[in-house]
Amino acid sequence: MRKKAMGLYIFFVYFLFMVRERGIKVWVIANMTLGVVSFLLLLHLFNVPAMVAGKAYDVASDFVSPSEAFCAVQWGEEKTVFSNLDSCCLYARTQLNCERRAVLVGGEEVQWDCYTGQGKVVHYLLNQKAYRYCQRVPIGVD
Amino acid sequence: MVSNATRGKKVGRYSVMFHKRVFVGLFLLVLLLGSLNVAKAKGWLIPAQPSVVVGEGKRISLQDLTLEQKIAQMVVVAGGTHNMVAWKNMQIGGIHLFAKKDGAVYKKVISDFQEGMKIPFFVTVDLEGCLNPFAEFHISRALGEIKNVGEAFQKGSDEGRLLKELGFSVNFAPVVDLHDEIWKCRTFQGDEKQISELAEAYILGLQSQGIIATAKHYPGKALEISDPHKFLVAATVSEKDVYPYVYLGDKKEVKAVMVTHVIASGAVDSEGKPAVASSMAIGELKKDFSGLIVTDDTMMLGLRKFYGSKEKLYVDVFKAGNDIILNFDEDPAEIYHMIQVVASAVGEGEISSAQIDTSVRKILTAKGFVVEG
Repeated sequence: MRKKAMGLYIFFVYFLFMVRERGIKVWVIANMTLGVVSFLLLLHLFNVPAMVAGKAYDVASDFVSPSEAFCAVQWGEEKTVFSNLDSCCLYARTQLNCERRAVLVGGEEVQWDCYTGQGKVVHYLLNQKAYRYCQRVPIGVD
Repeated sequence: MVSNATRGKKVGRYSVMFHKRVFVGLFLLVLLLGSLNVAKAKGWLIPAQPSVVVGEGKRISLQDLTLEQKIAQMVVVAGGTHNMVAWKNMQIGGIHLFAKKDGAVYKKVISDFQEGMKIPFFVTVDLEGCLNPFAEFHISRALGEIKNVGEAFQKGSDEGRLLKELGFSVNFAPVVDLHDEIWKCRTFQGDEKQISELAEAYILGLQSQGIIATAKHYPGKALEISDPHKFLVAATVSEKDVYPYVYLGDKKEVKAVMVTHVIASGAVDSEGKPAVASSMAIGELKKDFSGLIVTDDTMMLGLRKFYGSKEKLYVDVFKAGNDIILNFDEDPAEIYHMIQVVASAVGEGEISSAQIDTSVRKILTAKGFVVEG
């Protein structure tokens, strides 16, 4: 909280400094930014999906890592591919722990292991793309 | 004479003044819209329902409930504490809880939710065996490891005691599917008759502790590997798949059945749509079973993609004859939207109000009320 307040303070001091140095240009940029932010907030308020940023992020990450989203279930030593990613997300998101752990499932490397409890418990194994997708699924988990 | 330089300075000053005013205006607008977005996300913009009148001896009259209150009673949502105020204001029927660190956390969350509620929430969970949200503090044997009816009854009874102590009222278990191709641990071992007997023993044990058991996933074949290019499983359901529901229905012991999203043909025909939204499939179940009919989570993308429109999906799952609709969407505004969509479908006669009353009567009776009207 203190760090955030400090950050905000530094931002405002820097902003005032820029206004003093550069004059009107800074006001124009600040107003345009606020205009865009208000427009996005307005869209969100009326449930209009503004997916441009999300799509751009997906395209960029597809370029960096072109693999398909992949999920598997592990019970004991047995691992099974979970082809219904949507259903996999519901189960994975509701686990207490999601840790980075590289595991091979049928030649496919996964990076995330989601589970609850110790010993013989069900593990949901997801690659980076599936993990990122699951985080965006709007399930009401605390 | 005013020089050009002075005029330029004056214009510049006015321009800066203008931009400063615009800045202040936009800044205030961002603050206002930001606050409205937060209020919307928290559900603070949703109007609270009128207070419920509960008479002596837990008597309640359906006529005293608004249509929105009745529909809300038919909904179970994800019990995230960040939405507690919204769920309480809407008088939602139930909350579903996922994994937490220990029993004390569950007790606190449940008690906070129930505080001040005239009609308590159903508090639901998926404690099956290998699917165990309590795994941090409780070991639950996988159904596949249960060998006989004695063990099944003991498991049901032990788990019922734990659930009662924590404050739960409904367990979405046991699974009575005949095969589990995905987890490989969620079903009892044996043929349809052995599975039905083990399930019956588990149900008796669980319900002996006052916890409602839920046989799932009607009409079967829900735990089979789906085509990765399709979001929903289409399966031919056999008489064997349906046998556990017929058996448990005849015994009149299990209090709830969960219906899944499988597009069924064969012994149960869901008319080319997901069983959960098919009045024909649910009508078939009602021939043998008169308890609570619960949907699987309707927020599943597969189901939503099948329908295209959420509104059509909401109307169909209510119209099909389900009593309890699970919707784990974290946005209270979306849940309120669902209630309104269904209310207007009732208003237009697309869903009969008698059907809603029947479901609410079953729910309130299961919650221990004496229902009048």
